[in-house]
Order: sequence, then structure tokens, then C-alpha cells
Amino acid sequence: MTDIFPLLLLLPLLGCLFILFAKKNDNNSFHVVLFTLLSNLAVIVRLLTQINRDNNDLQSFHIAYSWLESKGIELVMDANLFSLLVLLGIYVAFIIAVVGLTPQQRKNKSQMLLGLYFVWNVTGLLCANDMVSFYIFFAGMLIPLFLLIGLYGNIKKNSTLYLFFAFNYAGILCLLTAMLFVYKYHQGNVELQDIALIKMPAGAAVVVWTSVCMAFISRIPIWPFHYWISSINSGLRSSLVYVMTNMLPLTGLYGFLRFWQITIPKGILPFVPVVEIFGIMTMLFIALIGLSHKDFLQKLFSYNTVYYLLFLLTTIMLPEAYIINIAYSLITFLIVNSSLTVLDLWAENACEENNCDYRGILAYMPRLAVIFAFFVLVAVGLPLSAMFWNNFVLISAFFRTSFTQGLLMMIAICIISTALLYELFIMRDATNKNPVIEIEDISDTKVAFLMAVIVFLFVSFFNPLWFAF
Amino acid sequence: MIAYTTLLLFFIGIFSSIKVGVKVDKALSFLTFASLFLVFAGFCDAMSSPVSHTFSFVWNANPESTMKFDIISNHYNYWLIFPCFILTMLSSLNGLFFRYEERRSAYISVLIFNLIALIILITSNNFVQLLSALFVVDILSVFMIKNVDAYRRYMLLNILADIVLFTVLAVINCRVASLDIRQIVLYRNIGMHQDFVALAGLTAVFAKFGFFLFQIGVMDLKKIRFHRMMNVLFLSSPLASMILLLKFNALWRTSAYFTAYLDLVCILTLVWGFLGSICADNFKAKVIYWQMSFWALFVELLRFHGFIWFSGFTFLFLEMYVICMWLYLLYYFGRRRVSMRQIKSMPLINKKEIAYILLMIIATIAALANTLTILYNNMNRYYIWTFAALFMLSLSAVLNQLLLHRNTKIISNVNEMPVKYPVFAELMLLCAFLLQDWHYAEPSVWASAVVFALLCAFNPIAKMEFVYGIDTLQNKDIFGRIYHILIKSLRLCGRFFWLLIDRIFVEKFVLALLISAINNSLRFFRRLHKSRLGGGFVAIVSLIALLYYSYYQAGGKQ
Amino acid sequence: MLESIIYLSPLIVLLSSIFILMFSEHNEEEQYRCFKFSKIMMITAFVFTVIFYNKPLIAEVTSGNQYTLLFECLLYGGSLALLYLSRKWFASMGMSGYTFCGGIFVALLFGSLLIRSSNLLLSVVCCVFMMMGNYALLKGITIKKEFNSDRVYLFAMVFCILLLAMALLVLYQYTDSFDYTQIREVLSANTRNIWLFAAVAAMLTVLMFMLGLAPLHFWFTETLGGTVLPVFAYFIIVPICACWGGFIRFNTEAILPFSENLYLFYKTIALISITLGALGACSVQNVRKILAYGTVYHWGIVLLVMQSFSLNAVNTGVIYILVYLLAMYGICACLFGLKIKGEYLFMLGEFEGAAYKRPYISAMMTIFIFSLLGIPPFLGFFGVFSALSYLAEHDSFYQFGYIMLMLIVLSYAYVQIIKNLYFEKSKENFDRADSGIYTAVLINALLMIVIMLKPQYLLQDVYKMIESLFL
Repeated sequence: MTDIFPLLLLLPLLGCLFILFAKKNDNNSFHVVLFTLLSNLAVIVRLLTQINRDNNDLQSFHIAYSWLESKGIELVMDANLFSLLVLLGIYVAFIIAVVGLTPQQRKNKSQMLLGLYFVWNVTGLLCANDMVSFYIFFAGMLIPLFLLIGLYGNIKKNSTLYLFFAFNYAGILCLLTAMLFVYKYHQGNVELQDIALIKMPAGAAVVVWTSVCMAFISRIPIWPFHYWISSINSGLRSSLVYVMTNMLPLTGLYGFLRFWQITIPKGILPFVPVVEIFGIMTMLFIALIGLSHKDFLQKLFSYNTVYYLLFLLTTIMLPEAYIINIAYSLITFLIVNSSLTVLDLWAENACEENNCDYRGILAYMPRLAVIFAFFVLVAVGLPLSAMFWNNFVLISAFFRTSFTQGLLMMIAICIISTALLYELFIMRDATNKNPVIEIEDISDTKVAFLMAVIVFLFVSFFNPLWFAF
Repeated sequence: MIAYTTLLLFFIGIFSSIKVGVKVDKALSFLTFASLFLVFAGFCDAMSSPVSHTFSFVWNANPESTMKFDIISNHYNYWLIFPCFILTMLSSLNGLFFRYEERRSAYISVLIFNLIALIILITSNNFVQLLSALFVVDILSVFMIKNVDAYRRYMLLNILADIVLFTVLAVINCRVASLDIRQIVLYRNIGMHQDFVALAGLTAVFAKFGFFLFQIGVMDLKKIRFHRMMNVLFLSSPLASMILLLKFNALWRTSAYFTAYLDLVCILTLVWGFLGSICADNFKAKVIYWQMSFWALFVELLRFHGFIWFSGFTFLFLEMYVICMWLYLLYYFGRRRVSMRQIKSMPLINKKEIAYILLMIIATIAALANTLTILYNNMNRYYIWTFAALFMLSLSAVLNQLLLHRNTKIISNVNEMPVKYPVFAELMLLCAFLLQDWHYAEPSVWASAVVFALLCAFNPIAKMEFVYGIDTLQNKDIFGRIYHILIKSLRLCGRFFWLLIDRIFVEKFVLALLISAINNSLRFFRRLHKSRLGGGFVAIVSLIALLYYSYYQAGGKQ
Repeated sequence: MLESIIYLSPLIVLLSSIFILMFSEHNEEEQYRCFKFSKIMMITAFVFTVIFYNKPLIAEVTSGNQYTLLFECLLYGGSLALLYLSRKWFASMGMSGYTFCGGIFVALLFGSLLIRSSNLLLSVVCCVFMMMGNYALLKGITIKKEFNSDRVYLFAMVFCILLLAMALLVLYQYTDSFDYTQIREVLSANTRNIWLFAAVAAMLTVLMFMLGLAPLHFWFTETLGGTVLPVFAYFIIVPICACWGGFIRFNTEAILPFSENLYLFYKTIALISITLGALGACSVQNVRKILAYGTVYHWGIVLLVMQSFSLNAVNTGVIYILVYLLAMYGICACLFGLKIKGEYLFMLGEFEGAAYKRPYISAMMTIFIFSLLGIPPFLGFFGVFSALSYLAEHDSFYQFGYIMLMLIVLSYAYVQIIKNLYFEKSKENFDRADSGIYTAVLINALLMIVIMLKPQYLLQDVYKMIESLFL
């Protein structure tokens, strides 16, 4: 059953090697990335088909590698239904992002290499089942992201780039602290689900769990940690890098999900309400900022933040039973996010090429407009994908826990939905006549590809795992 | 049964949406209508002897809860679907006679899919199905409107209303732990936040109706073609929201604020509708205002009849549609001029037809009055009177202005408009159908028809034509501005927060503090390293001091 | 007798090499032969060293074990790599490599003696000669005279020699012997003798001076910032191996009874080194200075970890040193591969856009820098993991936190290098790098990959080697 599971981790590495020796200024590296992503997607789907869904247990695929016997470190890779589902979303999102690259960007070897390396790290993170391997992949993804943001982020201020690095690096060191403390009290590597069971003094437990929280929160744009991510988003004009940047909070969210699988550790129980309050305040704050921004990608960033925080608060406050709902919701969320990024960048490119106004651009690109509208409607949570039903379940459960917080959350969602819809209508507004009327719409291939994504999402509304079961 | 009808409609809709050439399109649209008519006939046949039946299949098997897709056939649902079906049929039929669509069959297919969505909405038994159908209706309204400028605010309001409704249903679900709409009764016993549920739910419904405060969406419909506007007003979101009201009233009525809120908004809508219909220069806007007040009356009448639908409501609904159709014909013979002042400037070439329309409007008003007497009871009489008075007053004033108060500067050289006899025939038949129980009519019904005719001839309000020339009144979109200010203030709020928190607090304070701390350290460091000799001396002295201190400390410990 | 001579063979080879280089004709045509000769002689000496690693070079005053072998391997490995990399530099600069090769041989000779030394007098002699060798290199191979580094070094060296003389005199006064074992016994009996403490402190001060630990880092950072690339690479790799080897041995074999007295001293020195290293790296624009300050920071961590000089502490410290050295070899190799119009690069601005012209070298340099920051999956992770794990084990939480804080500060300096390599537009045309550079970088990278995949080579096998020091 686990025969093909190692391929998940091997294929991206092999892909990286191929790209390393690929020709410069050629599409080879793009093809390698696409092939690797598609192959791994096939592996994920195959693994999903092997999971017995009737059994409520999250059956998993398991491999172990004895890395450092003297220190008791065995790396354990383990994929369960949840991680496979999230991986599915991630891979589809990456495929969309890669397809969305411009011909010039596709020839960029470094972007492809670093992108695939990032994918490898994300894959590893989602499959990691022990503290050390989790840490390695968690930290590893900083390097490609930092380089890509520096290369393609159009960041004007030197301090912004460094702050991005410093925030993330501090997060990594926090996780290292937690890992070393756990190591101290357990005398060896420990599986993630067992961390909460390790006996340690109260003070040490506080240090461990606070470090864990800080590590993951550093990745999630929760106030006041939102600054670094919002500051780097504005200049990104590569779909791949944008998707990667927006994937970073997912790693923080996943960290919370894995570390708090059983229950919130007692050590930090008193701080949980603080996180909740900060989370909801950030949701409202970011939603309002999203409304005030004029750039669609900025709005999309705000949207991402609001939803990531929704998932985070759901993780913290709801029982484990809702984990699958989060996964189903996340798949759609990731795909929609990636698709909207790509579509917006296409529209922006069309504006640049034709030297016309962004406002009303969709009126001249009807095919893009329809697809764009679909994804915006999915994004705001209308019944077009699995996200609708699963968000309904999650929010409903949230209301059960706390009505006020649920209400504030919905207000934030309302505001950010207004922001997205408002921008959609602005982009479709043909009253502002562009000087160029003839704008080339997206190609048939792209339409076909995006239609396939739409079908995938729409069918998931009826059965989220239609492709696997 | 309804499920069977829905399936047939689906196939017809698919068939009708096939992209064909212009010539084939005409034949295809006729064929579609014929099929629709046959299905309608079958539906009426089933309606006459309905057998309760539930078509159901598992939609989403989740370990948490199994979600089903239900189409429930029963007498009540048949009667609720009936007016929707008729209206869809009539709209499709009119589409055949008026060349107002380039691709008639495609437009008919939109209407058919809309009807399917309405059927699913009416027959739904669970929240998810209900919200999904509601959303489909909203989306199809985009295809009906087909004008970005017109549907921007309409859609925004509708989608926000959907999200509010989503919230309300989530709150209900969190307490009832069931997606079944029939279980909402339980919420009355166990539920908390009932006021919130009622008020938020009603607000969403009002927004979809386009009632007072939320009318900006429907008011934008004046920018689109008349027939499309009518279809949206009768068959789209307002109708869907009425169905929502029928489904959730039992839940919302538990709140003490329900009646007060409902009454307040309906009365304000009625008044606003009346004022708007008097003041608006735009003929389509007038129709929207009448429709707005009509929906307000409709909701109030439903409340007085315990939110139970019966044939009286079906008739009322159809009568209003027929009045609108007559108004459309007036608009048609007025060469599709929108401004009242322009219509009045046109010569009355189709005099016979216009006289005929006037007569038929009076007849339909009589039918409307007849239906209102059926719906009349002691509790709602003030509403009915008020509505009837205001409606007749404003409609007659407009007719008076159009037919009697002609402008002196009449534009000449205008050809006669082709008369659409089938449409006349169709509307006459419908009028006849609506007047079928005329022999039971009370004297008051006769009187109302006569009063309306008299009002058309002598109407004091008709002299308020000067309002059409007040640009501020005609062009100022007060509520639009209010919403704009609201959104702008929210955006400003966001900007303010961004400046306050991101720029001032985080960037200028926290980060600046950190950076200055590091810079100061670096400055100190550089000063230390400025002079090698001095630095070296300091280093050696400090080293000796450190060594001594270390030695001393160790001694202390011993 | 013959046996003793055979055991002395590494020293003989090295010594004869020094003499041959001293008296051979210094001209440019002989460049190639000079480096080839040095390489052969060095390999020969290395082979003899490995074969006779556990035999005394000079009876009574030296002893060898796996620990000494480890440091000697590092010393020779580093020297060979340096020789390999520097050859092209001297060729391109048209300078004589004799002084440089001679300097390396001096460092090797006295470095390996220092590592193996169990006698204070020998250690002092080694230190003095090593310092003199260093001075000769600084004096002999310079291009720009703007830094005056040789004069600073000379001044410091004279001061150190005085300190060493004082240490020798005082210790001999008390012990009548220079043998480490003897000294240890005397120190055990006189732990609160201030003169003995002063003597030990003087010896330690000189060793710490040679290592460049703060606050004696002035010469180190200044010299490395201003000197030519081969000398920079030499200072950052070669003498350091010998000094750490000797320093650890001196602490564990001779002055362990004084550890209580020195505990606070070491801790403070380590923390000062960490602070000044991190801040210093951020305050300068010269890449070599950044790396030099970075080295001060890393040595601070090593000292902080090793302050108790227990087996575990030394093991952790040595792992950290190994990881650092591997990364530094890599960085030096990359620096040798980056030049504009024959000029090797100093300032940050000169590195702008190097990644566009020399992508592989820049990529590897970036990897080595990230490795120094301890980011996985690079080898540096093991160094940081070992050091911090050790501190956590011993409840040194404040030091643990402080290291992390300063690591974030230091990261700014390293990020500046990466930023210039990648995120700035290239203004200059970088010269083609020699294939030898790529080979060196590749070998280094492969070594790191192998250790990453099989970390027991680093963590377990090194432990066994260190253990021999405590037997």
C-alpha cells in the first residue's frame, strides 16, 4: 500500500536535479516542473483511492528512516487523509500557478527550481510525522521563498526584505527551541501526536507551547505578525511566487492542526482567548484594509488572511471531528486563490500589453470574465464548490462555541466578500472606455484548463472526493 | 409529479440553450415554447389531482450528516409553482412576438432554468439545497439583466443577503444540529439569539425584495430592457425572497420584533413606492416603484394570512403581472421612450390600441380589486385600502399625464408601431381568466373600476408634472450615495487602521524602536572600534578585570 | 632511535619543505612547480601523520591519539584545499607563492605540534612560531597597504610573547616542569593561587588572541578585512584548527582544576564574542570582515558550549567547529571564484548581481551562508542543533535565548551578502571561474550531502575520537 508513497518526496527532488542541469532560457525547466507536479498529483489521487473512507480513522501511509540512532532520531513520514487532501489542494494550486506564468517567466530556471524545491518542502512538511523532520521542512521552505521574493518581489525597501526573513527566521528558531526542549525531556525524537503526552515541568511546557505557537503564528498574518507578509505581497507579479507566499500561512495553520491534534495543551490554555481575540480582530482589520485597497491582489491577500484566520480559529476552538471539513474547505480555498491570482495577473498583463486601463478590462475579455466571476463567487463562499458546505459546517460549529465571535467572523467575511465583488464589478465595468477595444482574450488551451478546474470544483460541491471514491 | 416536470424542464432548457443561427433560432424558440406549454399542460393536469410524493437522492454522504436533494410534490407546492410557471410561459411567449432578443431561445432557456431553480427552492427540505437554489436564482438574474452597470449593486446586495442568510442558517444549524428545514420549529424551543435570527433573516429577505433602504439594486434595473426588468422583478430574487419568507416565517415569528420590523419596512416601502411612482420621470422607474409597493402589500397580506399561500395570492400575482404587461405595451407604443416628457411629446398614432390598453387596464384593475376583496379581512383592511388608493392614484395620474396632458411641442414624422395582436389576445385571455369569478364581485369592485376610470380622467396629482423637470430629484441617487458613503467610510476605516497599526504602530514605532536599538548598538560598536589603540587598551583592561572578577567569584563560591 | 626518526617523518617533511621553499629561486616561472612541490610534500606529511597518528613525534613532549588525528586531518585538509584554491590566485596576480606556501608549512608544522603537544614550553614555542608565520604572511603577501594590519599584528604579537614568557616563568616557578600532567597536579593543589591563575590566564589570553575571540578580536577582523584572499582564507581556516586543537587540549589536560575559576571568564568572553561578532558583522560593508565577525560569533558559541570542558561539551564544540569549517571552506572557494577584471571582491557592492553571471558559485555561496545560519536541510543545522541542544540540556536557558537573538542579528549581515548576490542588478562582468573552483565547491557540497544523509559520521564518529582525549 505504501509502495508509491515515497514517490511523493522523491519526485520533486528529482525534478530539482533535472532543472539544475536543464538549459537556460528554455521551456525545459517549466516542463519538468509541470510533469513533476502532475505526477505527484497522480500519486496523491492514487493514495486517496487506497484509503478506506468508511472507516472513520485517518488511515495513513508510513515510512521511517533511521537518521541518527545515537540521538534516537528516526525520521517518520506519514500521510493521512487530511494531509493528502491538503496536498491535493496544494498541488492543483501550484499547477494552476505554473500554467499561469508568462512565457518569459516559464523560461526562468531559477524560479522553476526554487518553486519546485518549495513544493518539496511543503510536501515533506505535510507528510512529516515527527518533530525533527517537521522542523527541517518547516525551516527549509524559507530559503526558496526568500530568494524568490527578493528576485521577483519588486521590493523597494531593503528593510522589508530583511524583516520578512527575520520574522520567519525567528519563527524557525522558536520551533527549534520547542524541539530542543521536547528533545531534552523525551531524550529522542518524538512523533507529533505524542508531544502533548510528554511529561515536563510546567515552566518547560509553557516554553515549549509558547514557542510552538510563536513559530506558527509567525507564518500566519495575525496581528502584529501580519506586517511582514502584507509588505511583501504588493510587488509580487509572478503567479508562482504569489501562490507560494500565500502558501506560507498554510504551513503555520497545518502546524497548529498537527500539534494540537488531541487537545490544547494545558501550558498555554490561558493564552488561547488572547489568540482568539487577536485572530478575530485581525480578521476584521484585514477585511477593512482589503476593502480600502485598490489592487485586486491586495484584496486577495486580505481575503486569504481572513480565511486562514478562520481556519486557524476553527482549529483552535473546534473539536478534532471537524478536521476533514477544514481539509475539504482548504482544497477549494487553495485552488480558488491560485486561480484568481493567475487570472488577475493575466488581466494585468493584458492591460500592460495593450496600454489600457485595468478598470473594465474584463468587459473586453469575456471568456476571462466568466471564469473570473466564477472563481470570485466560489471565493465568497457561494454554493459552487465544497467550500460552501464545509464552511457552513465549520461556521455553524463555531456559532455553537461562541456566538459573538462567530458573528464577528461573519462580518469580516461579509466585508472581504464585498471587497472582492466590488473589484470584480470594477473590472467588468465597461463604462470607462478603454482606448483599445480589441484585446486578445485568453487562449483556448487556457480556457480548457480552467474549465477543467471549474468542473473539478463544481463536482466537489456534490462529492468532495468524487475523483477518489 | 414535480420532479418529473423539473426533469423535463431541464431537458427543454438544455435543448433551448443550443447555439444556432438567427433563422433557426426563431423555430427553436417556438419549439421550446411548445414543449414548455405541453409540460405546463401536464403540470396542470397533475395539479388538479395532486398526489403527495417525494423524490429524493443522497447528495452528499458525509459522516457528520447525510445531505439529501428533495423535490416534494404536494398540493401546496403545486400552487406555489403555478404562478411561476405561468409567468415563465408568458415571458417566453412574449419573447416570440417581440424582437427584443437577438437569441430568443437562449433567453427562454435562462427563464426555464430560473423556473427550475425556483421549483427546487420551493420544494427544498434542507438548508443547503435551499441556499443553492437561491444562489442559482441570483446568478440567473445576471443573465436576465445582462448589463454590468445594472446588476452591479443588485448582485452585490443579493450576494450579501445570501451571506447573511448563510449566517442565519448556520446559527440555526448550530442549535438544531439538523439541516432539515422542518426541524426549525425545534429552534423555537431550544434556540438562542432568536431576535438576531429573525432580524438578520428579515433584513436579508428585504434586501432581496429590494424594499425600502435596499431599493438601490432594483432601481438600477431601469437601465435594462423593459421585458428583462419585468422578468427580474417578478421571477427572480424578489420571488425567491418571498419563498424564503414562506419557509422561515415560523422561525422568525418567534421574535418579538418580527412584526414591528416587517410592518415598518413594508409601510416605508409602500410610501416610498408611491412617492417614487409619482415623482420619477423614468417610466421604467415608475414600474419598479409600483412593483416595490406591490411586493410590500403582498408580504403584508401574506402575514395576515399566516404566511399560507393560496389561490388568491396566485391571482394577485398574475394581475400585477398583467398590469405591468399593459404598461409595457404603452411603453412600446410610446416608441420605447423612457422619459415621461418624451413619451408625452410623441404623437398618439396607435390611438385605437392605446384606448384599448386603457380599457384593459381598467378591467385588470377591477380584477385586482376583486382579488383584494377575497384577501380582505378586518385586520388587513387598512393596508388594502391604502395600497389600493395609492396605487390607483399614482397609476391613474401617469395614465392621465400620458393620454390627456399632451405636450404642445409634438414630434412629428413618426411611423405607426406594428401592433402585436397575439400579445393582445394573450393578455385578453389572461384577463378573462382573472375575471372568471367576476359574478361574485362585490359592488366595491365595480366602484373601484369606475373610480380608477374617473381618476384617469381627472387626477389632481397628474398636475405635478413639474417634478419631472427637477433634475436634483430625478438624478440624485440618495440611497446610492448613502451606500457609497457607507462603503467609503468603511474603506476609510480600513485605511485609517492600516495607517494607524501598520504604518504608525508597527512600522514607525515597534520596528523603528528595534532598528534604533540595533543602530545604537552598532554605533557603540563602531565607536569602540574607531581607535585600534584605544580599543585594544579597553579590551586588555576589561579582560584583566574580567579575569579578576571571575577568579574572585569562584573564590566566593568556594 | 630509528623508530623515533620514522615517527618524526611528518615533521621532517614539513621542515625540509620550509627550507627548500626558503632557499629556492623565487620567480614567476617557478610558480607552478612551487605549488606542485608543496602539494606533494603536504600530502606526504599528511600520510605520515595519519600512519603514525598515535606515535609521539617527539618523545616526552608530544602524544597522539584520535583526537589529535581529527584536528590534524582538519589542519591538513584545510591547508591542501587552500593550496589548491590559491594557486590560480597567485598566477593571476603574478605574485610569488613561495612565501605563502612556506607560511602554510610553518603553520602546519607548528600547528600539528601544538595539537600534539603535552608540554607547555613546546606549546608556547608553537604559538610563537605560528604567530611569526602569520606575521610573515601578512608582511609578505599584501597588495594594498591601507590597513597596516601587519604592524598591528606585530605589536600584538610582541605583547603576546611577553605574556607567554610570563606564563612560562611563573608556572615553572611552581611546577619545575612544563609537562601538562605535572602542571595539572600543581594546579589541583593550588586552585586559589593568584599567580598561577595569572599565568594560566596569560597563556589562555594568547590562545584566545590567536583564535580572534572578543575582546581580542581587533587584529582578526581588521587583518582579515584588509588582506588578500589567500591570506584571508588561510587565517580563517588553517591556524584556527591548530589553535582550537591546542586550546582544548590545554584546557582538558593541563588546567582543568582551574575550570571553576575560569567559568565566568569563559562565559563572559563567549557572550561578548557572540555580541560583538553579530553586531560587528552588521556594521561593516566588507564581506571578508563580515565573515571574520561571523567567525568571532561562532567561536563565541563554541566557547560558551565548551566552558566546562567535559566530554559532551568538547564533543558539541568540535561538531560546531567542523560544521563551521566545512561551510567556511565552501565560502572561501566561492570567493576565489568571484572576481571582476582579475580583482577579487571585498565590498558588498562589488558582489551585486553575481548570481546572474556566476549562478552556480553564487548558489553554493548562498547555501554555505544559510548553512552558517543553521537553517536545515544544510549541514549548519547540526552545529546549531548540537550547541543549543547542549545548552538546553544544561538548563542554560538565558544563554540559549541570547544566542538565538544574536543569530537573528547576525542573519542581517549574511542576508546582505545574499541580497547583493541575487537581488541587485549586475553592473560588472565577472571573470570566468576556474574549473578547479567548481570542483572544490562540488566536493564540499558532496561532503555536506553525505554528512546530512548519514550524520552519524559527524555526530557519532567524532564523539569516539574526542573520547580518546579523556581516556
